[in-house]
Amino acid sequence: MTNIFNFSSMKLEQRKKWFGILIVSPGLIWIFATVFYPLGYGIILSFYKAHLLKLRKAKFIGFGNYEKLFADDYFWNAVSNTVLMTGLWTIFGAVVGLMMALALNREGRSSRVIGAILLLPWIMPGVCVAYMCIYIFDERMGVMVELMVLFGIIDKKITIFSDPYLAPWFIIIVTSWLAFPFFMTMFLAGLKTIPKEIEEAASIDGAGGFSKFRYIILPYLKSIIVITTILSIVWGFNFFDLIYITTEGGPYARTETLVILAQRMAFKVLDLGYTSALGVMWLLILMIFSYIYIKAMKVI
Amino acid sequence: MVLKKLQIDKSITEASRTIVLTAGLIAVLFPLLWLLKTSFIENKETLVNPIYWMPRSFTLDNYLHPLIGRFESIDGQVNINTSPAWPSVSFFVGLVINGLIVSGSVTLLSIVLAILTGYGFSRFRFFGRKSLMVLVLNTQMFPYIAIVVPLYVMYRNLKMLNTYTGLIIAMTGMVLPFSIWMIKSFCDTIDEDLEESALIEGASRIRILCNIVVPVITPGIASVAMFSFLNSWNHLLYVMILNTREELLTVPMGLLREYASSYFYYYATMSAGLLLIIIPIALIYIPFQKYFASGLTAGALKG
Repeated sequence: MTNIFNFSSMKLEQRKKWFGILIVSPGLIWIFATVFYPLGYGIILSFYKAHLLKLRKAKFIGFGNYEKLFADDYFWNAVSNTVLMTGLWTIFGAVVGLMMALALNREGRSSRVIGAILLLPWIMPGVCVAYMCIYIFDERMGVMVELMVLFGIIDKKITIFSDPYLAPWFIIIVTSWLAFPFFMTMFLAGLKTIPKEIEEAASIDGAGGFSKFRYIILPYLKSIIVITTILSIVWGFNFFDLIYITTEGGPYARTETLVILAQRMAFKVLDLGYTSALGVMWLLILMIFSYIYIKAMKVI
Repeated sequence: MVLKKLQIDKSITEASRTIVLTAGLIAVLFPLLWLLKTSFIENKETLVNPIYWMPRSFTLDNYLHPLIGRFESIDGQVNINTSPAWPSVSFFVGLVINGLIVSGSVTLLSIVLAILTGYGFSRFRFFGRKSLMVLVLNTQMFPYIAIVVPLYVMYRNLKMLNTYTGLIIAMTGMVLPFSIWMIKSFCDTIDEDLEESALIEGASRIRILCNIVVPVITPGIASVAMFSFLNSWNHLLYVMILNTREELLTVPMGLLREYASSYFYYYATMSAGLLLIIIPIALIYIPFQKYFASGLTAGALKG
């Protein structure tokens, strides 16, 4: 008649199970309290007309916020900016990262040292990168603007951050610079799993560089490419520091991504209902996106 | 014939390898070296147009601003900029102290919680285990802003805005899912035999975890530590929303406060400050690089 929580009276299997539940719970409770609970609260808020300073007077309006969201050009602009820019910097980052990984894939001190240096952009605080950019892309004193004039990319010195055509490209290029070490690290780890014999055998059979890449290296890297790309897209959607500090979503909202729009709506317009609806839509977009992506990769 | 082709192939590979790596090194190092150069010239010199490619002045004054808070504006006024939370040190050193408090706590908490949960997921079978794991993995997909805005409202009701506790709790939640994932993958790769035999000899499960499992997964723990520390140290959005009081600013938010205002055009001063933030991170990070890469791939490859 002792209670079921008396561990010593239980069978070994049973005790093992309870111990498992016991040790996973602190971490899970923590995640539920700080991630799922706020997220759920946000989903509820998305059905309310909620002003940040008048939350007690929040009024249930059903799908009102979603209607407002879908009718808002800023939302669609932010969606297309986010998808386009994230897509481009993921592609650039992955291609450059792959090239670097292929070049670094060999034993030796020099590869290790160069590999460590090439990781620097990735570990730099985003805010430091942003202020570095503010300096080197400064209209008059910036060395990058000077170089761009020198190489004929632009005719005369201009403010990159407020140029409607160059600003998105500035964000894309700098973010690729930030992201390529991540791809490089992951691809390098994948390349190291390719058995040396297979590569050598292919060379002796006369396989050229490209066919070796296409038929040996690429199949080995496939799963890593899928995972890194998805992670990069997810992180890319959350990418905030650089855009917020350099262009703040401007000019004419050309670089305004979902996170910049959400931050503006929550803390400048103070419309929490709209922000929450945006967060919910964003979650759905990302889930559909990664689902389609995994499916697509399996077909190929 | 084949041998000759191989040799040509080899030299082409060698040449393209050199070109790719040189381009990469230039792209990474040029901006940083330019920052380094600027940090040693006078603020006046950064104002010239067109720019001087080679430095024409030399000064160490720029480093006085981050280190002791002494700042001389171009018209010769001298300001001493001290930290609002720690009056005896400069604004910058104060930021670093705040950052160490926050990131140190986040790192410790996430290590302990990730070891428990990751080990539990790896070793024990219980009802709902699979779906809980998927749920933890899926938190990666969640937009920060959809979490932090409701969190702001909750914290305001709980009076936890602008406290270290609030920020540490929120940031631990932010880094925890990936940390759990990494520890779980590391535990999956080690053999269970040793634990089983210790169990038969009568060791308690907690002792097994501390004395047998933890030493084996040290690389995993190191990568979790790096990941948690770097992420909480560099993160801006959470701090910007949950923690805006002058006394509690961490490094990214402090830089934003500092450079968005009065020193905007003092690029030499700014360069010195940025470098003093970047260099220590790089120095801490490079020895750990091996662990970090293996942790990330272990986490990502076996998810």
